[in-house]
Amino acid sequence: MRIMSASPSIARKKKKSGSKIGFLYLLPALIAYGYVVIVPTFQSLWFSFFKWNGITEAQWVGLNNYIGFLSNPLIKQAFSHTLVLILFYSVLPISLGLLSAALISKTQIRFSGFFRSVIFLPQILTSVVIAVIWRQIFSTDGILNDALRAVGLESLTQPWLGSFTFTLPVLGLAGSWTTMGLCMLLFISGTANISTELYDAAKLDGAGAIREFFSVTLPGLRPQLAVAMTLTLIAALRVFDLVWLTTRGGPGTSSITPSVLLYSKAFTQSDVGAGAAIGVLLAILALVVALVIVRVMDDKD
Amino acid sequence: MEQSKRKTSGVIAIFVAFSLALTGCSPGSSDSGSDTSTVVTDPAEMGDVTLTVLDSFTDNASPIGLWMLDIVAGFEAKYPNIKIKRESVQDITTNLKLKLADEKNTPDVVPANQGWAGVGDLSSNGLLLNLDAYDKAYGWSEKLPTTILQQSMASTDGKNIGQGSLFGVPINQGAFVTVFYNRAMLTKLGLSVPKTFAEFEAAMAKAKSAGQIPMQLGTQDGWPASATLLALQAALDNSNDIIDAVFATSNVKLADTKLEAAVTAYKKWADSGYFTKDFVGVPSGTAVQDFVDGKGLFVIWYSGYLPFKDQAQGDKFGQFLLPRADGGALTGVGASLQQFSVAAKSDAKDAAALFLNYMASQEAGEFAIKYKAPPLFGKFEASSDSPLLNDGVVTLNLITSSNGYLPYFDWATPTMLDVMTQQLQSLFGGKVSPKDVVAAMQKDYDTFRESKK
Amino acid sequence: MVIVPLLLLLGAAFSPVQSGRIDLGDLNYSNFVNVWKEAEFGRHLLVSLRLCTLVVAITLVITTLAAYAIAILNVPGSKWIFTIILAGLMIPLESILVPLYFTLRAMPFGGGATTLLIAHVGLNVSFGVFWMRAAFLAIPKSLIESASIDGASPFKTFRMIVLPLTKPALITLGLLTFLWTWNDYFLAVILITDPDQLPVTLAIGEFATKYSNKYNLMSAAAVLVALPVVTLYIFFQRKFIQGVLTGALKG
Repeated sequence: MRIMSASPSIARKKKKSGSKIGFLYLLPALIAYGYVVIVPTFQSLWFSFFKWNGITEAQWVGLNNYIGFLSNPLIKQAFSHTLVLILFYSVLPISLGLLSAALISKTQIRFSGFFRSVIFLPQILTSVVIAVIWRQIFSTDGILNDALRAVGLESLTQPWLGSFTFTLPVLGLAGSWTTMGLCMLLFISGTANISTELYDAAKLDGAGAIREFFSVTLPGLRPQLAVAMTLTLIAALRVFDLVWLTTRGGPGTSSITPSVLLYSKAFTQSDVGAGAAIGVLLAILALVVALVIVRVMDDKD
Repeated sequence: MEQSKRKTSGVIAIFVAFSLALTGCSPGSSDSGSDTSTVVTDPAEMGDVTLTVLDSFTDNASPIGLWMLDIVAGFEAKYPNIKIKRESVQDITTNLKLKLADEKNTPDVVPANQGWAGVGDLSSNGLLLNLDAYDKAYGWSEKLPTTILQQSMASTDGKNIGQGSLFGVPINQGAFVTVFYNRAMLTKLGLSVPKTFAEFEAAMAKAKSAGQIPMQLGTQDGWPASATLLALQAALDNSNDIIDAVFATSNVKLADTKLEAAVTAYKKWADSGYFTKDFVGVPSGTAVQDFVDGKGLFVIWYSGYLPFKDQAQGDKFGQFLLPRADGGALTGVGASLQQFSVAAKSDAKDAAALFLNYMASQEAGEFAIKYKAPPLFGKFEASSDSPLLNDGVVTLNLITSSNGYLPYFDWATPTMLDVMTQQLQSLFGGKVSPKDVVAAMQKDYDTFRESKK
Repeated sequence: MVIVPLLLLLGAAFSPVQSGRIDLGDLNYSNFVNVWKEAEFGRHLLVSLRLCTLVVAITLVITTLAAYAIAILNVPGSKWIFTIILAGLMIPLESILVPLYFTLRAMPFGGGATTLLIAHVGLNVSFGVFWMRAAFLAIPKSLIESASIDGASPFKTFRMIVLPLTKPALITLGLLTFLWTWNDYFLAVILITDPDQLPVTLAIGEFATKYSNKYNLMSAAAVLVALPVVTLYIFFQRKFIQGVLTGALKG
């Protein structure tokens, strides 16, 4: 009896001093995090209320930077480009991923580790390497044009990365290449977790392949879908490296993205306030995307 | 739970306040450059100094790269107490301003470009040292041609360039927008170096009908597209108008100059198929490299920057200035290949000024000749064993005698180069007309001049 | 579909011809040598290696300690602290980049690899803490309680019990952190101003603009940059893939 009453108090004492040390354990990470992430986030907000060239004194302009965006054609263009990129970074790879997942569940092909490794590879490569690869493919004497010429479609050859019409879609395709593997893997491994009983039940109900997909596969992949959507949408929102290393936003402004605009405003045009404002917008959008997806996914339950 | 909630919201509040305090209520500072009341020109009095020199000459095998290596070696040999630490960065303009504002790490000598985007912007923000006192000590205004020095000047009230105080010194190497040609191909086509504008266009037409690329061009990477426009402007436009526009010494309207004619000619050449096929998708580096590899009769590029491997390859080419359409005396866009300035926050100002002086000296000019690049100041003969270099020296002498140095048009505002680039790309994409291009450039010009009132 | 562009890259890297035409009969190693010399690849490789190893080491230490404090020691307020840390996963880099640049620039070591080091460590805290906390929560509570009843100090419990049990998670975290730090371009391009201290991704970036038409050289450069990470990937594939997938799902 005595022993039992003694140990809770000892345990409590241990917990108390544990928490003091615990705080120490927490501190380094908190300091680094605070300094690098939290403080700059608030600073971004703060900067966005000024007009500043990075050197001399800043001028308070309140919400002017944001209001200016409403009438600025470049901002509109940049975000409209993001919509196009969403098609390539998100919609296309996710559809392909779902398709491959459906095929897998039907045909029950076992995927070798090799296949998995290879389709995931683009996620491992750095943006510089990806830019080099695709710049080569789409250059005027690159593989794509060469292939077109070889099959007699010379008239279809284009200066892909210098054309007002094609630059953005072409960069989008490169983006699809990077996210495609991730989506496919997500969904394929996700289908492995869908219990076969559900499929059997559907078969008994006389469901065809398509019904089966929509009533069993798709709902079963809901968590994966949420993740894929979040990751790819935010990736599309943030595109910088690929554009910067191939066209810098050109020709003209036909391939600018919000991040490219942010960089150019803050660092080349010395309009730090506007750059920070774009940063704030991006953060808000990212948050909204995540919240909406979570909400929608939860609702379906 | 309540207590910890309050604690953490307290922490958040502290964070916010802390971060605001870090930036100061409004970011930025308002101190300007320091004064230069004491000027030291005697290296012995400078003590042991390490001079940080920023430059964009990253290719150690190019003429300018080799020149720079000689300059540094020559300077250190002459003044053993001063050591040079070089920082070579390719894309300098992006970060130059921020580098100069960085008190702890600012380089001492920086390559500010002439014009508003460089010297004008930087000096008006108090980032460059006013060199008037050093000018008096070293006598640059007496030794160097004023039309060249003008390009390094800016008014101290930050409103004008081309006048006021001196903020930089040009190096003794000349560079201008020139037409390179493939000697063998020219002869094979039965042509000689064009002496008139009409002859030049005829030469291109002949090349085209013979199945050659008349002119290599690549505009995918943007700003190099302006080189050809500048050459056309120099050949078609009234020189005084160009100078006035850039230095804002009169109220000339761009639409009244022959700028539109230049843009139209550029488009005409594109539509006539005189340029590389699909040039909008070709980076300029590729176009120029292909020219050096023998494809193409002409290329309009910056003298001294043709990327040939060795003299043997370089000798295959020659250069000349685009002849004027009105048959007048030659004019060329160009000046010193680079002008250097001293950072206002530098802690080695005297040594920096000494280095600038060295880069503009006769010795520097001799290094230029050594690497087959045309010098700018002093007297040099076109008698080297490199025909390409001789062409360059001849051209320089010609422009000097006709006083035909024209400033780069993109110097007119800090954003003019971006506007030109985007407009030209849109022009070739069929999105805008030459009139639109001129209008856009005028708008950028007017907005900037307004902000300077 | 995925493989083809990669094979093209490899082929071009070995091609002696400038345009990168692939000719299987004439494989050429000189491109790699040339790139190594011209881009001073060795030096930048060392910069990247040093940076990544340090980032991984520091990140592992501070995030595991922090996760331990949150998950096991139950420091008061840890729930809120964790939420704040988690929020960091949502904040895109672009939003904090501009002020971060100005704050770090004011530091005495501005413009060098140390700024990048600090930035990466700070950015990795969110995922690191999240990941290790999940791993720690999976440890049966009884093990920990019995340790403390035995009289072990929190640190001893940490070292003797918690760490060994979560070694796989640690390794995965280390690998992922290395990957993300190595592959970064955006952060480095803004923070590093000293050309001697460019990480290898940036050095290649500069190289690529200078030699835009020498496809074979550029491909060789790209292959070199990708090599260290791809090698790690080959050995630890499962961990990489699992790490990204489960991490994403749990988030």
